[in-house]
Amino acid sequence: MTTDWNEIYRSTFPDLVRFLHRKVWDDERARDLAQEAFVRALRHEPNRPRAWLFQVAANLARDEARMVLRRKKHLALLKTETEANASTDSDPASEMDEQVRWRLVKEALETLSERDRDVLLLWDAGQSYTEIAEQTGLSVGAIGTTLSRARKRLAEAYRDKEEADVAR
Amino acid sequence: MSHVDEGALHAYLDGALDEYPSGQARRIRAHLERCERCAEALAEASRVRDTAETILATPELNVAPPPLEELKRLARSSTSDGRRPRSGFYRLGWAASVVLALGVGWMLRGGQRIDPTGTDRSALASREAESAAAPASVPAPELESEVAPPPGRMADAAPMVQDRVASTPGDLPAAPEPPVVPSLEISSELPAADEVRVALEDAEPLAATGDTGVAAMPQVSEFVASAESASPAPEPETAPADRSTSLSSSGARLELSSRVEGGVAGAFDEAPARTAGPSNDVDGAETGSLVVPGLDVLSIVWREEGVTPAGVRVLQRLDDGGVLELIHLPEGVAPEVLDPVEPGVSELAVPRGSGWLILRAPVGEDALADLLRRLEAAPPV
Repeated sequence: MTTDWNEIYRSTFPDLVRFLHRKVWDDERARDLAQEAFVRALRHEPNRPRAWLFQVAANLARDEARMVLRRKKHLALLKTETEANASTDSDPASEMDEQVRWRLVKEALETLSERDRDVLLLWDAGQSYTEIAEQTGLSVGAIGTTLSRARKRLAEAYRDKEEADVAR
Repeated sequence: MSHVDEGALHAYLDGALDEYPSGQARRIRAHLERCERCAEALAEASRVRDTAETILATPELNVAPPPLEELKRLARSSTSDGRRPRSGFYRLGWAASVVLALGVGWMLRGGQRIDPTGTDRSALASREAESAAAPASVPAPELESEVAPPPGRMADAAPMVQDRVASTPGDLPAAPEPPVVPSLEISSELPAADEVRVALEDAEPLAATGDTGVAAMPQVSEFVASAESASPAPEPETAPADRSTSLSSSGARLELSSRVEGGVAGAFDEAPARTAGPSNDVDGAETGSLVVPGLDVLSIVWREEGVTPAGVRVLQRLDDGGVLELIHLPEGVAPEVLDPVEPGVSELAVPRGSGWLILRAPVGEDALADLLRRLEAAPPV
């Protein structure tokens, strides 16, 4: 079966960046890692590219946190002008608000167990229950239970941290 | 039916009930239509779900992907830039030393038997002399203190082998613990180092491959070894049934160094310097266990990329039949050089000295973390 990489790239790349961003909390790095995942996928041509991409992305993000030697190399060449322009048009006040929100989301997510966080982020990135189950080793039936717990915990943690932030 | 659990409520809200078994999905839908209590629970679950979705939607990203053609070009270039292909074959450098250092009764087939009690040391000396005369053969280490790990790699292994072999009785008493190393056999007809093939990828117990020798294949190496019970004594009831085809790590530890210098060819072409001392710490090398106690060892491979040593790979059989892969990467070799794990396989990477220790297994991350704890809790040699 021939893989339609154009379609996979179009439909998956934004989800992959979104998923990675909540792992590394750096949009530029998330894009780099998503590109790296696609380069690997194009080289390996896996049977189930979408699931494979998310698995590789999760590994890359994990390595990223521990990596001493980074291989940025050629990826720096792939920065688009759109990204550069976007950063110059931003409003400082709204950018600060955005940074606060990002920090709260990050801190709230960090209160979750790694398994719960992965399941939640995979769902958030558009993966189906079946795909999440394959990647995490859980049963399909356990995905809903995990998501239920993760969502509840995230909502509580975010609310607590938001209140603490206001009180400060 | 009983009330719908929260997980199923979230699956319902996510439109994922269709991924459940059809009968189960139908029953859940039917119940939700007529149960007031579950309807309330569904409304609450919906609120929680919406809140979480809103929180996660906060950091919006303006994703601008690069042209796919550019990534395809990079994929092509990275395939031809000398990185390791997915052939599954690794060149073998000091695997012989690694395995002997384990001291677990593995054998190279087709050769002389070495009396584990040390009474047949003339045969061993003869074998060693023969190997030394053959420029491209695996150096034949002696048991006990003459085991010759390569400098900077395996120096700690020698005393361990000595202890293991020396403690192996010729006749087994009715002891509760069977000897792990009843015998060793070392081939007298080893092929050249760069013609020996590594075929340990399938993670089968090595003696179960049915291989009767060492297959030749250019540019790659093979190290075939197996545990063999040579004891005439009856097997104690506690002995594992597959002792002849696998290897218990209960008495074995692999000491390794991530500071390695020199290429494979050089290692085989020249007999390594004898290292009687137990440590190679003088040059800053770090050592550590690479075997989880209590699990059968399936294979040990010294990974090589080109001429640069790139670590050790150990496969162990998990209790549920799965395979645990442990990889030690030395300083300067990033985990990225490894192939990505397949779906359903967990991976754990932890710093080991100035390098990395990577664990991979088809288990949950918690179970993998437990295995890491077992490995790190192993008593020092």
